[in-house]
Amino acid sequence: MKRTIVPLGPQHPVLPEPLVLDLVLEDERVVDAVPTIGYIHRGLEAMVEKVEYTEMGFVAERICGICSFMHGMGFCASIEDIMGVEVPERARWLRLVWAELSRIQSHLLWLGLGSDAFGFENLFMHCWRMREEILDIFEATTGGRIIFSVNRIGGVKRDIADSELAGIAERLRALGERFAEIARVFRADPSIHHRLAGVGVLPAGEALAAGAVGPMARASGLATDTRLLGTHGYDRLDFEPVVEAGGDCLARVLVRLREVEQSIDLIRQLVDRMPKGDGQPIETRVRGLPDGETFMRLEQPRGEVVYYLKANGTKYLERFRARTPTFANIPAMISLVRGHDLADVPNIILTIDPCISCTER
Amino acid sequence: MSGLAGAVLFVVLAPVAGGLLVGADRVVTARMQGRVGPPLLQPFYDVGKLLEKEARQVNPVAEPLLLGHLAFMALTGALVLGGVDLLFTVFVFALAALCLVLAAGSVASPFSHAGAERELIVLLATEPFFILMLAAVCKVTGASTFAGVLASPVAVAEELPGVLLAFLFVATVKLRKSPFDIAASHHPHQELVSGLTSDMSGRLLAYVHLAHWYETALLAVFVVLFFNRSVPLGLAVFLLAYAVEILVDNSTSRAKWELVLRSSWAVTLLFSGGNVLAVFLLGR
Amino acid sequence: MANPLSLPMSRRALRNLVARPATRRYPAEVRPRFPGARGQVVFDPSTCVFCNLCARRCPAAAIECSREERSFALDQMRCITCGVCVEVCNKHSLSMSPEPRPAHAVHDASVGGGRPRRQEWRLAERPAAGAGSGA
Repeated sequence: MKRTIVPLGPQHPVLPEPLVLDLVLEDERVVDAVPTIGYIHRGLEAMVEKVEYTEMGFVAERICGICSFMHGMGFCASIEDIMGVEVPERARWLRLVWAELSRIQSHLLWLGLGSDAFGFENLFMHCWRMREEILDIFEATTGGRIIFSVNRIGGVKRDIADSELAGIAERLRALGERFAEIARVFRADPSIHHRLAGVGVLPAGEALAAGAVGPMARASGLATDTRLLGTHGYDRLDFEPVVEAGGDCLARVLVRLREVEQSIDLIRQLVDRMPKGDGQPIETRVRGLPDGETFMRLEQPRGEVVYYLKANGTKYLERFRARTPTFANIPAMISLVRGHDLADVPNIILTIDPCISCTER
Repeated sequence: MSGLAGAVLFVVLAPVAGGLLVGADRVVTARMQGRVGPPLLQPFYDVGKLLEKEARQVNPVAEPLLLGHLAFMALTGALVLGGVDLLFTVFVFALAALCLVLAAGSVASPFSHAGAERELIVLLATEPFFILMLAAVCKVTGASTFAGVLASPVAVAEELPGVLLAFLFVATVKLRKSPFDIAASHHPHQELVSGLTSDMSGRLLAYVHLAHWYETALLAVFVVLFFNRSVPLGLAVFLLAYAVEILVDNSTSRAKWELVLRSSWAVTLLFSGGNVLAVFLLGR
Repeated sequence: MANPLSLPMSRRALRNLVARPATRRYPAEVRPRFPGARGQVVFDPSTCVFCNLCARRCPAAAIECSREERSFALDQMRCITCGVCVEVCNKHSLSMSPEPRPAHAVHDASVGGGRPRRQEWRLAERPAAGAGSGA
């Protein structure tokens, strides 16, 4: 049969970021997919040699617009680890509030993009509408909607007043009710099931072998969640990893739906358990220069991210590496695309929640 | 109303009515999605702007084909209202759609090609129904022209309720509404960029829009065939059906082409086939 | 699987028809800023001592400051509004305004440079406190 090659990307409505998949099609069936990356490499990691370590956090944040808080937090936590800085209690709790808010906004963004991929415009609008409320909370508490610049080595820059925290918990509870209605659509709509159920099945064994992380792995029945390590203060919260057994596109949607609900609950726990009282210290003054190296793991909305930092006793770091979740998920995605219809390709690509900016940095 | 006057009236008024309907569609769709939305006349502004813009032609054969698409679409309506045999008009209708497929297939872009192939599937899904529908209408009324059907004492909708139902289903495909907007859609189309209109720009795209307005008006004329005892009732039913289409469009995702083909054929066979069979068996 | 004719989204869509839209006609109708928003850095030349601290700490190298020439330049297009300069300024000459920078169609107006959003101050001699000059 005659084969056609469809260049999906670097600019294509389904792709929020530049990734190229040259799809080799027989009729509308994909027989092979050849990925090309490298369109959005900015050399951010190499900038540690030019930017002082105290300011590098702002660069790390700009690795990606969706995971920006987590990247900033990961960088600062790594430096704190090297320098042995004890972060004030309040700052640790606040970081978790923002981290979980980031997860909610990232998943809502993704649920919107995902529904756009299967042609459900109305659902897309509603997911993004809810995301705007999270962004409003971000803007009110950090001053930015996408790039927060609120992390700093030794703590955080801004405090959230107790009354404001209670307000955030209340807003999230109300948001949760509206989210339940949208989640019901994802779970019950027959046309969504037609597009997602049984598409792009990744069995648990293959997910493990391909090194899938985050919601992608959890949708295949692997209970991997870096938050379970209890680092960064997650040991003070009660939660179970969200696991689905299906391994198909629908399971990956369901995992993220439940993670939004989980994160809303986590923020409620954080607000309840946080030591009360305004005016607590939120920052430890950092003196001296870092020397040594560290690994740091964090659970980003898209999965596990690993940072490696090496300092040499000067104000410029020697090495900064980030192994981002999308990079770990791409091999599994490529294997999934083969054998599916062209119409399934956007769903499969999107259900790994690709973040090419993170991958290429 | 003489045939010629009807034909001229269709050619002049159909794009206005169709454009207004599409404008209303966009306002209602926006409100259903919780958006403010564009003004009612936005489709006219869009087409006006497209006509002004420079048209990048990938293949010079596209423009005559798209003009043909527009002309044949207008001609179909003119022929229906002009008093030509209804069965003949179906083939002109198919010819109009074919011109669009050829225009989309005349460029080298794989997205246009895939869109063109899917449009062929859409034709495969809908054309048999239109032939069956018009044949059934002619059979129960004993007339073969639009005026003849209107003059017939038989209330078509009462005789052919199954065919009417199937028509409303097939109209979703023809109006490029979700879940059946596989070849091209009004919203961003995620698999095929913009489906079969991917490589059309400027006035070429304007022709496609205009032809779609004619097509929408033509579907209204087809609904009127069913309500031949009262034309206003027919138009009201069409508007109601269109409103339901908008609601369905905003409540479903896009189906895959196999489902579109299978469900169109299933509905055509079950509802209209069964209906026609019943009419033949029971006699009139 | 659920009933193929059930459309769970349709109820929401119908309710939206009578509800107020969530969007607004943006350029005509602007949402009020949040008080703590980081919109743009504002420079007050009357208090600046040209210590150069902000320029050295700026991660984006958006500030040029010279003690000898008593000049200060802020490139709003380079600025990432991180707020580091505002924090390090001992004289509180720099502040963060919640009003965002206006959008520009052109980044670099001329081929050879000349950024349109570059604001410069040159002070021949130190003015009395409160009397702003330059720009």
